[in-house]
Amino acid sequence: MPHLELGPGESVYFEHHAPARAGAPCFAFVNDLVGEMDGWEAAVAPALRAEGFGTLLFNHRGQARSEFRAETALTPKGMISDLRLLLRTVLTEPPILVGLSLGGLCAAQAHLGGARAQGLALINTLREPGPRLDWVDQAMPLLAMAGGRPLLRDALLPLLASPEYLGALREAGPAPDYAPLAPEDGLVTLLRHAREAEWRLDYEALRLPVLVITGLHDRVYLDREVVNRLIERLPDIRSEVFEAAGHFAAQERPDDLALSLARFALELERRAAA
Amino acid sequence: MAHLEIGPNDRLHFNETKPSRAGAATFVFVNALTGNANAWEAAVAPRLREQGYGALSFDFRGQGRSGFETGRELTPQLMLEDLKGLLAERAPERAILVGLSLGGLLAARATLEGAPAHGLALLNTLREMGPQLEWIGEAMPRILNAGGAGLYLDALLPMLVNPDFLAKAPQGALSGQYRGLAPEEGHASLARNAHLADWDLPYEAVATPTLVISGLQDRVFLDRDAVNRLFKRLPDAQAEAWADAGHLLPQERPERLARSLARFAEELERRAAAA
Repeated sequence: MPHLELGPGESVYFEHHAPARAGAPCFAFVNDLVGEMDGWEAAVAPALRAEGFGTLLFNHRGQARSEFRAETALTPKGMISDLRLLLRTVLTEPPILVGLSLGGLCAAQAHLGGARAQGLALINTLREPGPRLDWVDQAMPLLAMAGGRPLLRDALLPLLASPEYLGALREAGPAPDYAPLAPEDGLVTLLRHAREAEWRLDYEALRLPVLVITGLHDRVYLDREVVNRLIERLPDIRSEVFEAAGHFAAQERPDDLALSLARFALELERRAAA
Repeated sequence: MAHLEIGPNDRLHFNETKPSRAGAATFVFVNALTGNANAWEAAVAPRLREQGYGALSFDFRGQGRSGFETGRELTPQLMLEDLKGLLAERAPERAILVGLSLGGLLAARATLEGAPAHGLALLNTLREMGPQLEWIGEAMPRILNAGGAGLYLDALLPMLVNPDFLAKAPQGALSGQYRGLAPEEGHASLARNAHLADWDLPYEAVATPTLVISGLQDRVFLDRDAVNRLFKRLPDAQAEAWADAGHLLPQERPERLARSLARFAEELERRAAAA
């Protein structure tokens, strides 16, 4: 299985499919902290590959199949550094970076730090730090240690996802039992360092084409005034609002997301051809 | 604090002050599911007493110092009986029922079932049930069982209250030290049975003059479209929307709440005088 080796006991698991169509870009998907690459692979990535686009998916250190040593601090800075190295190592052409939540911030920071990219798609990423989000960042590792992913899902999913998605999940089966995680667990370690993320991004310096996607049912991270303010600072911006989605667009509205990303990529292809 | 005996092991603790001014109303404060009388007594009730109003605050069975028989399920219906029983026993003069969240629903139901009320204030009460609120209701007992109120607040407080309130974090918050509630504890029973509440209120039948207050920073329970829809169904209602508050109005904006309630009471006094 493909791993980007970073040192003894440290690696990033990835899956790469080159574009099947000449001139078609490759999408490089950047996970948030809680989600993993399977979230993209469930529907969005295959749909884009079916259109001839390439895809690069990976898991951050601390997520499934990627390795880390217990003494390694899994910080946002480290995530950005891993991403830059992965892009440089695996891809020959600049990709379209697609990031969800903190993944979008990592993608943007990676580009500002030198990673080449044709375009950038930020899904539910735009935010400003403040007491609410600072509290959420502090609470997340505590919740993960108290009850693992099932507790995170129980407590926060109703505030993150659309009613339609929640209804479907409830019909699919009972809530899973809580499963506390150890402090050294990868997810807990990632969450513990989330507060170190630098959200004061130099938006004006993101001169590449940017697609911003905002799910209106996100009650935790979304502040529409903030999003609108930050969008104004992006020089080459197109913005889409997903009225029927919350935070997890790839799971909640995979067809809509694949369509939006394909449309964005075709626009960039046309620009490149012209 | 006085108490009303309901049974050998069941009693309601309450704080009561009669109006000190002739014709003044008595505010009856109806707690939310996880609330207690102290939330009102910290500032809102004292401010209103200073202006001559009466005030009656109490803990439902399972809250604060109100006791209940071991094994008794503390359902919304039982809470409604508690409220109606206390109103019948204490007979507050010109009662204005002030309910927060589920407390508002119970206050409205009490008036619909004949409890005499001069006015009704519904604080962050209006809502329509759907997958989101049903999920929250189902998750609450599980979260309390795993880590008690500390865990519940760590998870949800930032989405419930305004940023100023949040910045003054309650003592013990975010410590990671949690104590799960046993199933027989009061709040565990209240939370376990909360899903039995019937939120489908016949709003058109609420003839009592009603003040509706919504905290716009409430990211958990507020759906502005739903509030607007339900508000329109109330025959005699006025609305306030507070941009600087979330769900916990008595704690977040006590002075403002006391002012709004006093203004509402004055209006009802004027109406009564004109009639």
